[in-house]
Amino acid sequence: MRVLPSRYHLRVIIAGLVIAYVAIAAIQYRQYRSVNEVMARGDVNALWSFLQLNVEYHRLDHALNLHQFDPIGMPVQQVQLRYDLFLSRFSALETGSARALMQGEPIYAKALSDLHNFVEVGDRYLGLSADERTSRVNLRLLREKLLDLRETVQELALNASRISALLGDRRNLEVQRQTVMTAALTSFQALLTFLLAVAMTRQYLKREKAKSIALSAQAELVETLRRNEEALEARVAQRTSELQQLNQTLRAHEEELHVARAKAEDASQMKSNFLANMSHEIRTPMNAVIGMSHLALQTDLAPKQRDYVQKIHRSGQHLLGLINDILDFSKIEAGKLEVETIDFELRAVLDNLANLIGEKCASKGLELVFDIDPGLPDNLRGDPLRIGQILINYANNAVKFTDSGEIVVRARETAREGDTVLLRFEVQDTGIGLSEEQQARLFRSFAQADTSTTRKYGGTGLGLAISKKLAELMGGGVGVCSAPGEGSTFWFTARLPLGAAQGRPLLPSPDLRGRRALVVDDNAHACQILSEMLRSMTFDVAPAGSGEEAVALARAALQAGHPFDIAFIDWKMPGMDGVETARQLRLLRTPPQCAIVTAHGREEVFREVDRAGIAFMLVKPVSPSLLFDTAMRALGGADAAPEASAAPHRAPPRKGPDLSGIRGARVLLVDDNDLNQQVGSDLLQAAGLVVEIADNGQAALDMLARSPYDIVLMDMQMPVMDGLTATRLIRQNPNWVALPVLAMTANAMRGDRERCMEAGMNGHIAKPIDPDELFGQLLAWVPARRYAKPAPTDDGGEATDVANAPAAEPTASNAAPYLHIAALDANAGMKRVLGKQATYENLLRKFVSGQAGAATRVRTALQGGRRDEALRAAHTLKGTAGTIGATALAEQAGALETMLGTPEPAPLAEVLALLAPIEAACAELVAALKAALPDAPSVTASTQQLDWPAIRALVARLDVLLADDDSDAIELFRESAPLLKAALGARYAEIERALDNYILVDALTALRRAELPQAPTNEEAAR
Amino acid sequence: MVITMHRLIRNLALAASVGLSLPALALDAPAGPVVLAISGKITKANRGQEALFDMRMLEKLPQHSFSTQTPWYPQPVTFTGPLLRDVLAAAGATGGKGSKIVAVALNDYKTEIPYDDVTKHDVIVARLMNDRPMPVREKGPLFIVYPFSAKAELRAEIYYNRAAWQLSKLQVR
Repeated sequence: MRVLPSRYHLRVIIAGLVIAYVAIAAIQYRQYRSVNEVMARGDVNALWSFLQLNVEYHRLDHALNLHQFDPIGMPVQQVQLRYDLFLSRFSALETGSARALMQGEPIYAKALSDLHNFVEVGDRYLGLSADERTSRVNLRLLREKLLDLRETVQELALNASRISALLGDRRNLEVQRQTVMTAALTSFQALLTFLLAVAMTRQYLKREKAKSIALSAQAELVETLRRNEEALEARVAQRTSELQQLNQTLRAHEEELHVARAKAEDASQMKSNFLANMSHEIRTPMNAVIGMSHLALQTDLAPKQRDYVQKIHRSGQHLLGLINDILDFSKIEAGKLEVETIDFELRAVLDNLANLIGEKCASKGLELVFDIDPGLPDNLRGDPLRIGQILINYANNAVKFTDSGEIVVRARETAREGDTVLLRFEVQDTGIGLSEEQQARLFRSFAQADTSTTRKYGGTGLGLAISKKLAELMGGGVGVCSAPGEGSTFWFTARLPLGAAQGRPLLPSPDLRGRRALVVDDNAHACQILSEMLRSMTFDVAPAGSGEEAVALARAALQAGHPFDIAFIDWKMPGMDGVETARQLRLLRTPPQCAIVTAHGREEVFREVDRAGIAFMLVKPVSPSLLFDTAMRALGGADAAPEASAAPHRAPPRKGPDLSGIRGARVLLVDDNDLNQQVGSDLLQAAGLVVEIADNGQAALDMLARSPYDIVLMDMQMPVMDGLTATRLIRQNPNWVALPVLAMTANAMRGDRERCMEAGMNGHIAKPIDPDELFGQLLAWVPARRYAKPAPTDDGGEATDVANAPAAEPTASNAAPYLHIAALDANAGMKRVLGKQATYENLLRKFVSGQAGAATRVRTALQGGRRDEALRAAHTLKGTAGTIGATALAEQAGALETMLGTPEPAPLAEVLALLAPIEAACAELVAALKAALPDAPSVTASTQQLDWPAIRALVARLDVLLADDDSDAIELFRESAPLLKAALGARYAEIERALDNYILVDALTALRRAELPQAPTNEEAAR
Repeated sequence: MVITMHRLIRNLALAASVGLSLPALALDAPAGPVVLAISGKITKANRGQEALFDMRMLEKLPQHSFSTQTPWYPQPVTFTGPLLRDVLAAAGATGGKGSKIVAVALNDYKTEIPYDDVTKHDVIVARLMNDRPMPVREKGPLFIVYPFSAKAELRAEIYYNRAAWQLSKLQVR
């Protein structure tokens, strides 16, 4: 609203200015024109012309006058020139500015006409002058005419002067007027300009004001914005500080957490350390307890004491098992349980299981059966101890929960991917079984089937949880199939890479006896235990209480020429530790083989030991068999160099007992350990005996069925079938009742020996084998006389080449009547026993006594629905028939066995149809043999010769002592063991077991059940 | 037109002969009545200190002709005559920059002409007006004329004053 009038004013002013300029321009143009006009009219030249006319008039007048007085001084030509000059001024008057000046004056026209008249007269006068005189006259006349002009010329000049002055005045006036006008216009213009300036200033000011208002508004806006921003910033700052505070709190919390975590980690670390320490601290006394009780059992003890010590020993081992479980479980909890990956032999793992479980099964009267897929790869990579641990756990459970029946250990390959096999192990029992609910709770920590079970059977309930974890670590799983009352099958799988086959076969050392062993342990008990064990294995042992002492001893021994062959070194010792000690020992010129013994868990030590390049490691408490195996491996597997250096210290080939009487006797060596096999066979072959080897009890049985042997040397712990079971089975076969079976075991415990006897073994040979003892036993048990006579005369040398021995045997006499039995290939049979006629005849006799009723047994069993029994009988018939050379009968029996062995049972009628010809053939053969064979020597003679009255008196006294619960009975029983054994037969073992367990009542019952022959009674009566 | 052409050709022929002969020849003495006397700084005087010219001598010099408006005649007029610098040269005038020429008329009118005008402008000493000789009573016989119509700068009072008519003498100073 305020702007509009201002703009209006401005327009008016600008319009006014334009008008003013136009007016000024118009006025100035007019001024210019008028001034120009005035200037033109008021030309000085014009006035000059009039004045010059006047001047020339007077000069002509003067010239004419002079000519009148002096015509010579003033010639006519001069006058003429002056006349012409005067006339020339006329033209100037008539033209240009002069004319313009004077045009309006009356005098001007009159003057011009007068002048022209003068020219006409003058020209005439001057032109008529023919002579001087006339010219004077004419000129005088001309002068008169000129004088007439005087007034006109004068007037003209004066007028011109006056008019010029007038013109000047007018011009001045005009200039003045126009100057005023111009000044006025200029003033007006100035005014307008001023107004314009004012208006513009006003507008400018208004604009400035508006602008400043706008600016201030903008500033206000900016200010508002700034304030908003400040508020926002303040809020942000507040939030930031809040956040910082929060962060600080968080950081504080985090720090607390950090501290807490560090504490927790510390605690965890402390726990781990504690566990490691506990492992050590517990194992060390456990080692002492178990080791000492083991040693104590080897001393002479009263039966009660023995019983106590045995219980201590077993309890110790049980406690150790529990502790191991707990430690393992702690490791699982801490995530520290690891499995190794080393090359191992599956067979060794199963051997160990057989060793451990076999005894337990045997003591509970359970049958332990190994059902191992023969196609399983033996060389694998993995953790043999952990696989063994799971198997032992399963098997221990199976034994624990099974009161009767059998325990089957199965191993199968279920899958193979490249170089990795998935093995499935099963342990099946015929125990109490598990309900589904119980199964669901298994494999959980601290869970057993139920609490009542825990009370009844004991245990931590950790074993299965540990097994599960271990199996998972080995890429497998665990599971159970069971129903209450129907037994259980626990299984686990493990994914194992195939191992490399043993690159370098171990070089077996034929004799470990008398080797020098160094035992290093800072713990005197542990040192003592290990030393004693080794001494019992005939090692020459030197104990050392520290690494330094051990190194010093080893040096001294080396200088004395008797270096140590093997060193068992405790891992953790003050000062020089085990690994360092081993390292120092190995720097010696003839270093001993080193084995690290540790009371710590394997995981803690394994890597360090492995890194140090030490191949052997034992975990306390050390069992004798493990110790022996380790020594065997360490020394047997030693390189050629130490072997050679050790040779001089070995017992020189000794002059043993005279074995000529039993040369050529056939020995079946049953041992799963290839080194033991080789040691045994070397010794025996060197003595001129024929040695064949079976890997386990079952193999031994098969071989026995095929061919006769004079003696069996039986290892106790073997996979598939252990020695005790095999011996029992041997004894069940009537053919083999008299077959001498000797146990060979590293287990020096007295209980072992007794169990061997109980199983029906004839004797016991301790490992490592003492050749003297071995040969003594052989002489005692191999029926020597049969070989003494037919044996060929010696070629002078005591030891005959073993290979030649059988070849030197003469073939059976052609006179023998059984050579002509059609169904019998006697020559083939004879070859199988290396041509020993007596043996062969013995075999034939055994066949007659054992297999005469074989077919009948098959039939009876079949009819009774006992197919297994029938199968076994058929199997035995096949084997024995084959052995004696009754090939046809063997084949028939084989066919029958095959039919019975098929999973889908053939119809009974079909089987019976196959059995009939066998029955006939068998009966015919037996009859023929009976006719052909010479009388067999009576085997019952010895029994006949027993001193029955003494025995009866002994039994009576024993009865009294047992009835009195007197432990003297045990002493008496032991003192009279050989006699009682011969007299009491099977009851002997029963009584012995009862006494071992210090259950005198049971012993008495067994004793009273024993049936003594009636004859003595008669004899007594006769007296 | 025919007369103009003849005159031109004659003038050219004259100019050629005079141009060729000038350096060699001294100024001839005037045969007829003297119409122009040049004095002052000259080298070719033909009588005493003066170089005198009759109308013939001036006619012999190269002739120039132009038509121009003047303050003295209402109509444009054609003037013909030699260039003032040719006339001065014929007199052997030694004027240069800074020197001047004083022109004196029959009626003793005097005017000063800077020597520069002579070299800068084709100033002629006109002896013919509209191809007719000029008698004294008609501003003759000689008339210094600037080419007013050719150059605007010449149309000023100072040049009109320098254009002296009834010229009788030139003094080179």
